[in-house]
Amino acid sequence: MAYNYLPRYALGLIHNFEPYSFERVFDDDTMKVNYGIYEMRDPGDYGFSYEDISYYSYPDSIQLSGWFVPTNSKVHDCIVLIHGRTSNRLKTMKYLELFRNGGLDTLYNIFIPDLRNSGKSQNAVTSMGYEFAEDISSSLLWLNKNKKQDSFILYSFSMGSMAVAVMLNRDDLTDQLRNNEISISKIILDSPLSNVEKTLRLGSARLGLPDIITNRT
Amino acid sequence: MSGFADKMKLSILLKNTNLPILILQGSSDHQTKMDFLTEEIDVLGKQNIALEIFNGASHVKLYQDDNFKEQYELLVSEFIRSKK
Repeated sequence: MAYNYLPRYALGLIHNFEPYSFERVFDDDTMKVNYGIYEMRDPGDYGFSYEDISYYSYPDSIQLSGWFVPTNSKVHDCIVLIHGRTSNRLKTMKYLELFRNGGLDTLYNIFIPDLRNSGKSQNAVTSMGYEFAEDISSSLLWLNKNKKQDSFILYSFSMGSMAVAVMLNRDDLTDQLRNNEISISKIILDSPLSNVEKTLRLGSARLGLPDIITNRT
Repeated sequence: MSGFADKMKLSILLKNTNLPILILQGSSDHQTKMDFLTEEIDVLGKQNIALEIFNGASHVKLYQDDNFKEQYELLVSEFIRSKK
């Protein structure tokens, strides 16, 4: 009988996850260590000036948030740090240190978004990166229109990397970027979710769900 | 699951891109497993993808791990700088 509900449960794992808000991270010392931020709270703590911005996804108008770190007003090149599932921009802001150490902060502006269902952005289904892809392209469009950025390096983590790959493969999203003369120059994938089906089957097995359940989702 | 999850894999999604791609992966990643990744990259068989493995590193902890931080920083910085 319970098996009737399990496919829905497994499907829920694909579409949803519990959002990780800023408060949830800041109130949990273990999570702050896990995120690698300790007492850091925003780019200002890494010595960067920044703007806290809010914008909307296209086409479904989900409210999104992010930090724009304008390191060089003369360049139109931007690195976008893209977090994964059960994460938010707090987890990716520590890479500001890498950019500073590598002298990259004078060559690129930096954008650190909360994708949907994460941080200060609106709760919504994510579908293992499928909807995240729309948030990434929406971020690039916003940065192009409002900050005159036209060339991007996408630097992504875990499910965020799957989202980048989805975006590159979706003609509706890439056409929109091309029509606005927005280009992507390079991609970095850190610990990427590389195969959703295999990862779900592995996760189901770890939860003790028989494979037939996964097949029914 | 057919029709959605089975198409959500890098060997399909990255098939048509020729952008330079740097992939960083820990060998002890239990969430996004290394053997799943290497299989996808093998299927792609593309020259534009560089894979760097960090032996013993776990999921999205490559930069946080003092054993790998310097190497990670160098790889990322060089990859990004190679554009300009």
